Amino acid sequence: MILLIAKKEVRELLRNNRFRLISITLLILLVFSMFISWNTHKKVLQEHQTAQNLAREQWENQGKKSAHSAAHYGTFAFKPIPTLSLIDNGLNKYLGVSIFLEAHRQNSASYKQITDQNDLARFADLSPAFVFIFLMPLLIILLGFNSFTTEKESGTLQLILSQGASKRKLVLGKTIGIWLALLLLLIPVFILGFCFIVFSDYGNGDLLRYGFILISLLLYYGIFIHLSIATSVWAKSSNFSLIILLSFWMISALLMPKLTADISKKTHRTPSPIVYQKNIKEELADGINGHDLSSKKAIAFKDSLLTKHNVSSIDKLPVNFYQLLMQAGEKHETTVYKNAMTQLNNIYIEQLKIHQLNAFISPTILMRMLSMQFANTDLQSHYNFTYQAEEYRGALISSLNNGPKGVVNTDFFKKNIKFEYQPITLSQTIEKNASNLMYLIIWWLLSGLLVILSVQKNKLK
Amino acid sequence: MIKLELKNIVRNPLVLILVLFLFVFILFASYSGKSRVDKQLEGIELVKTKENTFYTNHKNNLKFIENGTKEAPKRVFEDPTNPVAMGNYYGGTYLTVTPAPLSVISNGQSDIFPYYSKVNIGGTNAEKDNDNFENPMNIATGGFDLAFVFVFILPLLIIAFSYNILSSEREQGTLRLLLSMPINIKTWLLKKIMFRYFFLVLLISALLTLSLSIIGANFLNTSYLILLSSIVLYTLFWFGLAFLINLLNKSSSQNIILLLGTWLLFVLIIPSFVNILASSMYPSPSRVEYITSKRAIEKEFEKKEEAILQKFYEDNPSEKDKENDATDRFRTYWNKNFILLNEKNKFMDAFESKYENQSMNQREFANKLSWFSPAIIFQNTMNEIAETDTQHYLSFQNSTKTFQKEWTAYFYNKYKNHQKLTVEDFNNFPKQKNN
Repeated sequence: MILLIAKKEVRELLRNNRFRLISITLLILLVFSMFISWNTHKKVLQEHQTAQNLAREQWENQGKKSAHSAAHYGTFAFKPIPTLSLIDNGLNKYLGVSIFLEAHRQNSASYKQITDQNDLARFADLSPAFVFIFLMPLLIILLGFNSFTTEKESGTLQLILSQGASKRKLVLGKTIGIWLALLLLLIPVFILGFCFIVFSDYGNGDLLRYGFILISLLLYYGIFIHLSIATSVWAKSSNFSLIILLSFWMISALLMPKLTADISKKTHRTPSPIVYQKNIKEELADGINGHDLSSKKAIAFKDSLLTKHNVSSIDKLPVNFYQLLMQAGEKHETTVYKNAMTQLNNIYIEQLKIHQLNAFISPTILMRMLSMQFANTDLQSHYNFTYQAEEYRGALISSLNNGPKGVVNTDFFKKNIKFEYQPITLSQTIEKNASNLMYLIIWWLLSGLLVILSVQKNKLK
Repeated sequence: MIKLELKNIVRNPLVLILVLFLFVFILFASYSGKSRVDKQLEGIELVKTKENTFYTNHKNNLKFIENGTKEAPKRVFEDPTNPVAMGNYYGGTYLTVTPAPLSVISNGQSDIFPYYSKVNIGGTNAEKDNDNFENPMNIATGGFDLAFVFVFILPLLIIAFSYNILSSEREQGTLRLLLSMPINIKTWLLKKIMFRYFFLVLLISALLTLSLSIIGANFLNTSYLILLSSIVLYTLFWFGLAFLINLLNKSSSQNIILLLGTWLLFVLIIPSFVNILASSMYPSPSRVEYITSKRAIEKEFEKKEEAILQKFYEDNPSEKDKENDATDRFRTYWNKNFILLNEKNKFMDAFESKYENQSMNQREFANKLSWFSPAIIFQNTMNEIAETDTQHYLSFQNSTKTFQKEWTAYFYNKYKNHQKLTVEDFNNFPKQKNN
């Protein structure tokens, strides 16, 4: 019985010109956007590999100099591009692509792609994730808004009910029908996405990540299907049902995300750059400076070292005083920068919590966060990169500060450690965004409950 | 008829709700625009205070030194009589982007481009180091500014306002009645649409003016007139579209779907395609490639330094004598450095412009295609009024470069002639011309 209703629903939808037109448009958009992002992805990946190698080559061939001036010369860490940016480019455009690693200071990632793009890049960005998250729900609304209202309007509903079909079965059948029509469109696209990932240089867990994105998407679509059905059962006319559903889409996909961005800016204010830099400067002045031998802190450091080794002058020390001082300064500077960056990051994290909170009104915010988290293109994976680059900088500078005295050359630089980036593992991602996934499930359940309620409220007569 | 229409509109609860929402949106957007502008003004105030404190302190020191009550400090960087110390190192001036009177209306690119830049002999930092520290998630999402309300939301309200003018008559069964009357159905529809159009335009103008005066923005200028007339035109476009779709004589639901489809087309899909087209015709420069190339080119310049100095001394033999005269380390270094800095700036500018031009071409191309969608044109107009468009920030960055030359020339002149700075000089440092 249920299957019969579902079959009829699918057949009707497929015969519907509107459905055909919109599905074909969406299909074209999806395939097109996938090709475009695959192309960009390949190009960017190539550029990054070349640049990383070139930077290393420049480091190794920087000429003869003292190890510490090599630390001032510095090198670069380039942010690797995650494979799944193919599907969701997330925040990548708005984040710096590389970090300059040098002695004494931690730099933030610089050169955001967005500053080199035309203004429209911010206006609308056609990526697979955009079509999946923002446009697909519109299709679902169009599929479902009149699933019951037309039957009500044409009077066929009473006919069906009088034939012995139970309301519950009818609703279930229609739901399955919409799902089938939707999957007919989605499955080829999902497979296409899968192919793109398989044919690019995918890493450990990327396919599973893709799987998680698809599961979240299906849950997300489920919410919209539930809402469409419930509204259609509840509303008296198709017209009204459509307006309610579109308003919901507008609030969820358009209004709430932007409102949230503005609200979070107000509740958790970020410092202005000048204040940020002033604080860092003050804190730096508060500790040892490796280049300043005459400062109080440096003298205190010298005295403590002398007492510790029980000698009267630095020449008699069994260790190299200048290297130790430099390293002590480096340690202080690292802490100062780390603290400043952590503070800023904490503000960002608090702001993201506001986004999460507003997800109770807008499932779109939730889905967007989930998809970029699984695609490794969110803030967390960016921090993972900056964190590892900073660890690497610490190790490199300390190996230089403790390196041989006097002039070093290529042979020495060749032995320096290389930057190896470890992307966030899938289990880490899941641990961090389990709450988001849970909220999405709650949304799914609640909207499902709404369907059941609407049936029991006996609106179908 | 007008009276009746007005009664119809005022009594319709849906219209009241829409008007209420519109007012809330406009007011909220104005407020968030204002808080962004305030934050910028605060930042400008801070950098200006920092600069003033630095120079006032040194000027006061200089007064004592001129009186003979104090001696010049031993550390050369702290010496207020030394032109290079005051024009470089901790010294330097901050150039700032003053927000336009109507800056509140559009965030534009204000969250990705810095609004101030420190300029001294060493260079400018307009492109780096003064990041805006906004959450990338918030930047990517974009703000709820007036431009968003007008470009994205307003058309949706218009759609809600006019999708069923004709179809509702049919669905209620009153269309036959209407047709039986001696009026042309097209003129009847046109009149209705026109009425709603004027109603909405007047309403928006009133709400906008009210909101702007509540937040205390200065709107008594021609930019505001331009803004209002763009709203008038943009609204006209959407009502015109609604008129055409009403004429198709379809059901209310079909009208909504059609109108929503055109909305998606103009507001999202065409802009996306223009963006894709522009960025594939003129790809953005690869900054990762830029970073490594910059290193290589800096190294190349280092190799050339000797030759550049040689050539300079050949052209200006008098400078060569000075070079030999220089006694202290500071002057030996700066004699060379002034010559090299100038050459290096030219050299690096040539390198940078290759990358800048690539983005420039992309922007120009995208601007040419903006005529395909009124939404893009309207958004661009609002950014220009708010002076938050990319072009404005880029010309700011260019003006810092020009100013940097003026600044350096001033101090170089003093330095070259072995002049000590006087208290009078401190008042005559080059200043940013108000843009």
